[in-house]
Amino acid sequence: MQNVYTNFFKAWVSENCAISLNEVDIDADMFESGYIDSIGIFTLFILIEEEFQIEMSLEELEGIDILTIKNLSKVIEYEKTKT
Amino acid sequence: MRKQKLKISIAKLEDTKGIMKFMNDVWKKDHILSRNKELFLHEFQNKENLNMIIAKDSTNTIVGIFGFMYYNSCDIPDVAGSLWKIDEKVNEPLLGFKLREYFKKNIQHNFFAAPGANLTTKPIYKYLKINWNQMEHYYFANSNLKKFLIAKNPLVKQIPTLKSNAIIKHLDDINEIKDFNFLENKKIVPRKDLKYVKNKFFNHPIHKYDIYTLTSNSLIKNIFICRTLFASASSVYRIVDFYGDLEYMHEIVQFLKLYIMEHNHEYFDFVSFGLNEELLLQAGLNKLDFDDGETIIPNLFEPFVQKNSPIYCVSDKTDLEFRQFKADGDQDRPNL
Repeated sequence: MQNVYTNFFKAWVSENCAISLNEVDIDADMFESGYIDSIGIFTLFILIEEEFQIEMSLEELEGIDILTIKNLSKVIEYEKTKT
Repeated sequence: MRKQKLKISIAKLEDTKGIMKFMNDVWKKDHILSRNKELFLHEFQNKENLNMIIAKDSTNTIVGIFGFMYYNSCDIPDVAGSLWKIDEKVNEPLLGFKLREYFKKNIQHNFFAAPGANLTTKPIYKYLKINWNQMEHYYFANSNLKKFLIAKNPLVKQIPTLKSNAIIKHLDDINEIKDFNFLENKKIVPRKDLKYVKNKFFNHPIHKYDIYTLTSNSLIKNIFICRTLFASASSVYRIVDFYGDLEYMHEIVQFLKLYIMEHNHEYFDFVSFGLNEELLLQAGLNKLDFDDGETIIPNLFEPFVQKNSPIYCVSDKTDLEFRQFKADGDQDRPNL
């Protein structure tokens, strides 16, 4: 089941890459798929901080694969349960 | 998970060749830093190391760099960032961030500031909670000229001649400023010192800088550093660094006005951040309005671009007086 965060990121990728929602693969590595580049990932982190009030500490996320929409959504969901 | 393990470290002198190759292959083909070893070492050598954080892949190929330079020789110095580039082909989107984090943890510094941040990198700085500012571009046009080939529609002003006891002198010997207390004003950051001025301007392998002192009552009040730039069979003069307060800015503008008239330079300009705008305008300078659509005071000369080009500077957050000038960081280094 896709959560609200998955849908949010899908919509963001869809808009930024000018592709349809159906074309966004939530299991794909966003970098390898060309959804984001090395700068775009920080644009996304800032958006997450502003939209969900979650600080994206890359130090704390070390070792966790956050580059798929599915995994990133799980991280946000987990972080939100803590707040 | 990413597919390969990258090794991040402070670059050693023996990495010079690999970094210069990286510059050529990834940064810009045939860039001067990829072919002029003397300039490269002037910019980055620090005894047996280089002032650069590098990432190498499993084949020892350099795949990312984060350069830096010291503003002073204090135990905990202020630093500027310089070249920051990763090879996108390495498939590691956080590599640039990791290079910077390595720098932050391993290069002890008091304050970080650098001009020349690329607008596309703004999200990284915002994420890192680093201040982002646009520098101001002041200029004074040569009223003797009827035709401008570099500038377009500059505002030409007349300023009254002043009587002053201040003496401005071209410096030929670095020892003449050895007693100047560079670190006197502890409220200004970044703090620069004599060694910085000597290395950056006196010993520059390519650029010829004019270093001036302004003396009043036998005390050096200001040091300012200028350089002539050429384009379109014409030339301009540029203040690239400045020390001291703005009390004698009138005298400096007066002096440079006469200088550009004597040398037929189209204008002199002063790209800066953190100076009191009112005092600079009162001294006779014009502030470039980047959006007016009429006036063009070019900023980029290597290669020459005849348009207004704002420079962005980044810095740690500070309660101190943050100043930034054109030659800070690597903004005035040769680029062709």
